[in-house]
Amino acid sequence: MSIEKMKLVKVTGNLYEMNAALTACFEGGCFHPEHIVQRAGAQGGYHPFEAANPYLPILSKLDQIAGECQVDFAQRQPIGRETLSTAAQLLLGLEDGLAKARFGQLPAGQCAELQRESGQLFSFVPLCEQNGVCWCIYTASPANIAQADQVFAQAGFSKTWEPDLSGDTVEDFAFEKELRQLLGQKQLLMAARERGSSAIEQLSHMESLNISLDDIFASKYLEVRFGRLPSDSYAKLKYYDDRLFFFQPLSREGDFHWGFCFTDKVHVAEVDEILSSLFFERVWVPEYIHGVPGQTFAHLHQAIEAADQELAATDVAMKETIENHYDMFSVIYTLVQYLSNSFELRRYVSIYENSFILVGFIPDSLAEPLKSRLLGLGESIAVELADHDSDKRFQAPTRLKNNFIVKPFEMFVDMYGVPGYGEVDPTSFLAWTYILLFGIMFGDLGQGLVIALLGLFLSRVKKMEFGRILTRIGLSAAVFGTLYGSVFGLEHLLDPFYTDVLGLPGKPVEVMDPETINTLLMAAITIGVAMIVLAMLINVFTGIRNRDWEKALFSNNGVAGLVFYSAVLAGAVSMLTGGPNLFTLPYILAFLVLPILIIFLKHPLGKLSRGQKDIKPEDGIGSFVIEGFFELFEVVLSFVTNTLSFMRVGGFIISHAGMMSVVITLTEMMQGSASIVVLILGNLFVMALEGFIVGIQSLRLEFYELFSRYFEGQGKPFTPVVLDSSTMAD
Amino acid sequence: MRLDFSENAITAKIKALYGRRLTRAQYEELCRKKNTSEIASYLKERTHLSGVLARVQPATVRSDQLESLLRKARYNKYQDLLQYAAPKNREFYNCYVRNLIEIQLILQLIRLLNIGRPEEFIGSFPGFAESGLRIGLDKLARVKSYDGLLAALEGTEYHDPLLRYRSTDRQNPYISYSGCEIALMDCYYASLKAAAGRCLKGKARQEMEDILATKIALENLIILYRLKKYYPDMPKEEMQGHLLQLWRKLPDRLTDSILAAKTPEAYLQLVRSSRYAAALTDDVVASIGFGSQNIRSILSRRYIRRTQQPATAFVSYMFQSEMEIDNILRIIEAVRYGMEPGEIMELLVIH
Repeated sequence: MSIEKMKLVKVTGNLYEMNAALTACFEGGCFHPEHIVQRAGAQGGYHPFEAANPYLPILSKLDQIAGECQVDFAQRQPIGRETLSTAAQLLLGLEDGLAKARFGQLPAGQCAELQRESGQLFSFVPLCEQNGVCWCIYTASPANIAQADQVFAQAGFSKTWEPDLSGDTVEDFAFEKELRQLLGQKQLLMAARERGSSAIEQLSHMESLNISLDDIFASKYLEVRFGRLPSDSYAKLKYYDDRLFFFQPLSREGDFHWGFCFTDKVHVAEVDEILSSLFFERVWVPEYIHGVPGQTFAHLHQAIEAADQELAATDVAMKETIENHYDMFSVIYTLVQYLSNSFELRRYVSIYENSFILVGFIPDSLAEPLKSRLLGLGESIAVELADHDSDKRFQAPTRLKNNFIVKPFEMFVDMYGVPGYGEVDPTSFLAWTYILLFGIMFGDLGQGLVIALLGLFLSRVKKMEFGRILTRIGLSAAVFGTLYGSVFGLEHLLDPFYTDVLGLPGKPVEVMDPETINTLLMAAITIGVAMIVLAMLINVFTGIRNRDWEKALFSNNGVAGLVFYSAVLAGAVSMLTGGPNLFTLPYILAFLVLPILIIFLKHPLGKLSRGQKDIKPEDGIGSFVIEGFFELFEVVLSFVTNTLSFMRVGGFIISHAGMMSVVITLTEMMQGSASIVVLILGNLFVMALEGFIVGIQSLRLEFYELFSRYFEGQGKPFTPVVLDSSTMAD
Repeated sequence: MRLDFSENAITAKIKALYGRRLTRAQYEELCRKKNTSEIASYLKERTHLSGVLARVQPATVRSDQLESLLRKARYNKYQDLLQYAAPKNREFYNCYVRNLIEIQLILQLIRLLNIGRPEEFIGSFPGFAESGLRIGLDKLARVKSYDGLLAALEGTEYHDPLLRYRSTDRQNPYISYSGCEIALMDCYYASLKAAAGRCLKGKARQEMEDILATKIALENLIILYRLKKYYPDMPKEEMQGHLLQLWRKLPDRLTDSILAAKTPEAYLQLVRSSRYAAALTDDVVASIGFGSQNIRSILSRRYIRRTQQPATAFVSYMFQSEMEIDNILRIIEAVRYGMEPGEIMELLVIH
């Protein structure tokens, strides 16, 4: 139940070592970067890193190829983290045009020798090795590249890609031409197939026609239109009996009539206009459709089959081509993706001449190891670790640290807001009270266990975080169900257990007993009072910890409010239980009037506590008094309503038992297997309905009655940036 | 046996239907489309209208065809909802929708008669509604003149109000479209008022009177604005003859002052200071019709959310569904004119 301590980290160094520093910071996934220029403005000559990512066009091209060929990258070539980092460092020169690079394969036996020579004429990194072949990359200065090429050629190097970041366009990869040719072929075949299918679809509307289409369209004096007419319009055709055209329907599909419209060549324009007003949709019969429609079908089906066979052959050829180049493609993809991702990390640094600065937050426990690692990267790198609040420009982010029982409930806290760094993490309080409230309201051993099992299923199989919450509240409901002696609504099933095993006179709590109801409601209010008081104590604690005296002492949820609330409760309880009347004048003045007055004056008192001398209200005394009065009214009212609100906890215990008694009554009315069906359906219905209601009501109590007293949720979430390692080997 | 309170299902169904409307984000997406095909395709694939447009071919669909389909869907919804109305109350629902369609058809025919192309009426006639209308296409399709129209309307409530607009000029007969419109709309509201009196009681009747009184008042404001703008010299008394009969009288002071306003701008200024024009902001003054729709949209949305009266919910929903069709048609038009998405959004009534 805490918020993880953070350290503010400032890393500075030479631009040449920026990449290595960024990788070290981000690959662990625990560094929350801050944009220093955004926060501080462009002061001191720092400016953000704004260069365009030169690897993105290459990556897009590779993605495009992968998409078009539907290649699955699930088996990407794993390359070691260190190797990729070294390759990225090597290719830095490529970005500035200070180096040229070659990518390709080499007999694995040659690698050791070339690695020994690396660093002089050329720089060399073997990326990964497979079947005696090593995929590698080497760079050299433009002056030395020819010489380096000779050395590598002698070693048996086969170049497959020459990375070039200077141009706007990305050159085609060696294997791309072959693939594109196959893709073009595939598209042509698919278009032919589509055309055939479309023709079949059109012909299907002419199936009843036993005249050759050639004869129809060859008419010398007639104009023919084929298409579909909405049924609404078809009904209107009778009103055009004085016009020189007729529509011959062939088939009906949904709201449309398909058919031919005939007119003569003189009236065709007028008829087209009429058809248009009737929403006739003309379909152009393709030139390649001839003869009687019924007979043409066979030809078209044959053509489609032929296209399908060719498509299958093309697919096989494409698969083979991809397979042949898969390793190379995969290595290049992994490398470029890493380069692109690490380039994007530079957006978080600020640049000043030849140096960079990176600022961010890291959990306290990881700060020193990161510092040591960064200092080991190069001489120019300097690391400064400071307290989270040492630089007022940055708000420390919040990372919640909770045990496995309450951790799933962070989801509910997130819904409301992220705790501030200086606040108390409410997750634990919320989790335990939520579990308690749900259990009390939904108490049933059988139903609770079903919910717990459902939660287990959702969390394990469906990987739903909410499932873990269900498990916990389900178990709580089962515990309270045991207390109430309720199993799937059967209120006396556990009686022998209480009497024979535990030796009790009966079940511990008889929910439906009229005498119990009042006790339940009073107990519910008592629980509510305890929770409200606890919430106020948390608020006081937070206020004291942050030296916010207005919040801790003078506010309605501070000491003043706590005294007022406790005094009213003590007085009321004393009167109701036949004790002495505590509401005497000194009691009222000391414990009711004085706290109210303090709450009324909390803003001026808060200003005084902060050392401010001008405590005069900004909007004038009149406005202050009016606002203060209504605020006080709301405060007092909210104490009453918040407390009574907890009566619903008792109410839902009774309602749950009541609903289940209806189910049991219905079950008893049935006979044989029908009664079991009713019992099961009734239980499912109550579980679904009550489960939702009780779950929502508990959350409402948490958010509205409790969170509003001590939790502001104005924090900033801890969002570390992670260098995508999905393509790397561990 | 259908019980009277089954009518309450209309309220519940309308709340559900209203939930399935185009959202602001969807309108924004529609405004970014480049042509009618893209709009139709988006509506067909990504919105609640996918069922309505299931058989549409976006590549070839025309805007008037799209409009016809949307209106047909709206009419079908009205027919569906009508099933839940108590038989004795159906008169009101029919009167509200069916009578308006009939009036719009008659006005359409008058427009076509005035331009000498009555034969185009057959194409524009909503075939889907024919069985529910009292004046069928069989009569109206043969109309070639105003006398023919009057003969076709013989025996209906529309005949007498239109009788006085018969042209006396045999050589060059011209029908006063605006006169016919006012006469027919007066007839419409009179029928509606009578139907509301017979079918609705208590709160339902009170809410309906509020809605319709506001609607009439807003329509009058539009008529007056147009008269001020295009006939600045028209006397006050003549202007009053062009207005719809009010269900509730406007305050005399307001009526006098707006009738006496010298210019359309002065008129608008007066209107804006009245309670009828809460939604008339500066940027919608250019189109008072738009402002009026805005007000009605706000009111109808409020009624849909709060009312328990089936008739109120029905009338409010029919307006909202009409507004949705109008919005789509405006987008199609605006896209055709190459307007920017931001400009198009300003033309839409969205709440």
